[in-house]
Amino acid sequence: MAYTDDEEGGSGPLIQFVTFVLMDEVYGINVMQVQEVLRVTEIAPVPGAPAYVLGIINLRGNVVTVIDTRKRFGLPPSEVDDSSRIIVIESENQVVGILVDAVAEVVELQEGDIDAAPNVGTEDSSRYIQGVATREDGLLILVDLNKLLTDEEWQEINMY
Amino acid sequence: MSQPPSKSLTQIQNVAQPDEALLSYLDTLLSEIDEGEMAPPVTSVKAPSAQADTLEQTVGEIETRTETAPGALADVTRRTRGVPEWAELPFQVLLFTVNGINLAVPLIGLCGILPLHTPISRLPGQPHWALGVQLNRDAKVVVVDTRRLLMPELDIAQAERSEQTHLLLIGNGERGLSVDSLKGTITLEKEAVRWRGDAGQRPWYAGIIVEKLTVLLDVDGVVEMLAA
Repeated sequence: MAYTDDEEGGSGPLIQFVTFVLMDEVYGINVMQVQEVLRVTEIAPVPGAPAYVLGIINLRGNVVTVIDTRKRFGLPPSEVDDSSRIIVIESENQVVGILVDAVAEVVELQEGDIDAAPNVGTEDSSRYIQGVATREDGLLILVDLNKLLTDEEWQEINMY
Repeated sequence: MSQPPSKSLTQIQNVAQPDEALLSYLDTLLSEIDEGEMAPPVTSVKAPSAQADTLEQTVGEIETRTETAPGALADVTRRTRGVPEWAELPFQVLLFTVNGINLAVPLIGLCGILPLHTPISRLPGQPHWALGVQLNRDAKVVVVDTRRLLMPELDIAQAERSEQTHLLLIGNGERGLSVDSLKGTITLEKEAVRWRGDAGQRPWYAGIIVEKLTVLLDVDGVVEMLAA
């Protein structure tokens, strides 16, 4: 991790984020938690799964649970298309996939560039918003993957 | 009768400490030895290792070297290790679908297959998962709505549009799981299944057939659910 202190006010360590799109909003997750990005393959539904679980995929012989990120974020559902991707992440010592509309790029931010998220949503729905960063092309919403699910929910998806 | 554990048994405890499930198993094993007839002491165990494979081999050795309460032992094994005894050898499973979801049941837990006759005789005061009763020769089979039993998250009104065609008889043939379609049988090795770690919240869940991305049912767990 590189440290900088430029003239534009940003300071602190540089952090890389993988950005993805959900309903035209751009979100970022720490690149260190991203294992790989996949085109959407067969997602097999599993009985008794919570609503935010789309199903499971076979990733080179390993079963990976795929989370419906739109549903988790309270967004309306959409059809999977050519730009849809599954980002395989590691969080809370588990490997899971999150389905997103598209993966955009990798951006570098300095810690000082990250602002606290405006306190507008309910505590429950905004707990996984780590902060926001202002960029030329709009706001980048940074997601704390560890808080994407509650402890109980992480345990529950570990079933599969 | 209470005796201090032998040196070799203490070694076994040390081996198992990193793994809670195995610890529970070994606790049971030790208590059986304390209370009952002492089996010939285990004279050698494998060297301690964090590798799960080695631990499982060690447990396997203990199982073969002790003769205490085999029934209880088998039960604990089923609950903690996830891999049932019958899966140690190649086994066959029947693939089927329920509401578009692929499922499988081990043939060893299956009593038979019946075509689902409609209308089914509905009885008052049935549990939510019971569709009614169907006759199989002179026996009465309780028809279980597998969708309601395993998939409470489903919109049942929508799910009920799927056509159920067969009953998989389990639990001495007294219960029949309704299914949409049968997809044939395949033979598996235990490595083909990602077995559950413990009983968890879904007693019907035995594991996932990785290659097929198909949930394998624990028939005993299903029968227990239906009896509850």
